[in-house]
Amino acid sequence: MTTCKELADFLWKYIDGELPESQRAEFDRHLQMCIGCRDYLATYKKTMELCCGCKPCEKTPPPPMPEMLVKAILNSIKAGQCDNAPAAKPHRGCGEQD
Amino acid sequence: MCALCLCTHGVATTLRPMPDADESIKRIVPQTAPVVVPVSAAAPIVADAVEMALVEKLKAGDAAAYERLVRDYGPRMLMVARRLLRGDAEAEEAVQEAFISAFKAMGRFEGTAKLSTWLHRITVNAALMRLRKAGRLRENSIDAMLPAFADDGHPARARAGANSVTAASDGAETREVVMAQINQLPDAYRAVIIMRDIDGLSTEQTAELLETTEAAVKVRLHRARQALRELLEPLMKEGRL
Repeated sequence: MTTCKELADFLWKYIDGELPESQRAEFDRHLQMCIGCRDYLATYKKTMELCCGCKPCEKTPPPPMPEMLVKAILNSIKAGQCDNAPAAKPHRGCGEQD
Repeated sequence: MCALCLCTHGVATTLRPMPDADESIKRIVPQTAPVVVPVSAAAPIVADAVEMALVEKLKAGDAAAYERLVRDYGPRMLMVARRLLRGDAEAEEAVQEAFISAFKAMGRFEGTAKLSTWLHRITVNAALMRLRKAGRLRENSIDAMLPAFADDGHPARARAGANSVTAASDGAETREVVMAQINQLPDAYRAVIIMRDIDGLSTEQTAELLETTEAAVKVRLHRARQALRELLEPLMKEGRL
């Protein structure tokens, strides 16, 4: 007999369809009898929906980065911390040819 | 080079100070370069032509292209870092680290992921590195937030009666309320909810970034949702969500 604790512990498997058929049937039976677990399942699913509702809207551009941060990043590159950064290009001295 | 990444782990990175930045955040030297991008020799090119043109300029060391990358992609990276970290200063440092890692790995970017996706994962990894180094990704502090049960498996305290759960609201106010509750979770659990439910990473990608198994991610996500449900339930019952 499935307990409320077992249902709560393995609810994600129930929702994701990862429970073996016999265990899933037991969960279904428990949910039919237990109003508390039905409520728990509903609020758990609502929690999942609310989280997904926090996804940023792709159409709304995020606020621009602070200019200070942009400059700090570009300064890091100019300082030659990256192999292919502009500052890492070999300096061509006088008389050098392409 | 890491099997899952384009990065060379163990390379120290020194961040440039932000102009007028607080002294405490002027120099940060992470132990590893945070770059994570799955690579596959047979993977198709998914980056579009505009992105690849930009990448070619970056590989050639075009300074204007670097600035464009920072200005175009930086804001979204900062948003991602802000979600995972607590505090703007820490998020900005993570973005700076992420860009340095990205620039170092740019020569090996082959377009098998969209540039934005690639930078997103690098940013998540940079933020996780900070949490990990601070010991904030340990899974040991959520039990008090989970539902309690008696030895016989029944709830330890009476549950509220059935309520009417409405369809999820998508308003900005609702998002703000939910994010505030997510931010009450311990970092290890907050991170997994953000990565899976909000950033939309797969279980596999989340496991790679968290350096754990897919099964562990599923269990951690479940516990995070259980704890979050406990926090949100009163608001649901009040009809605020």
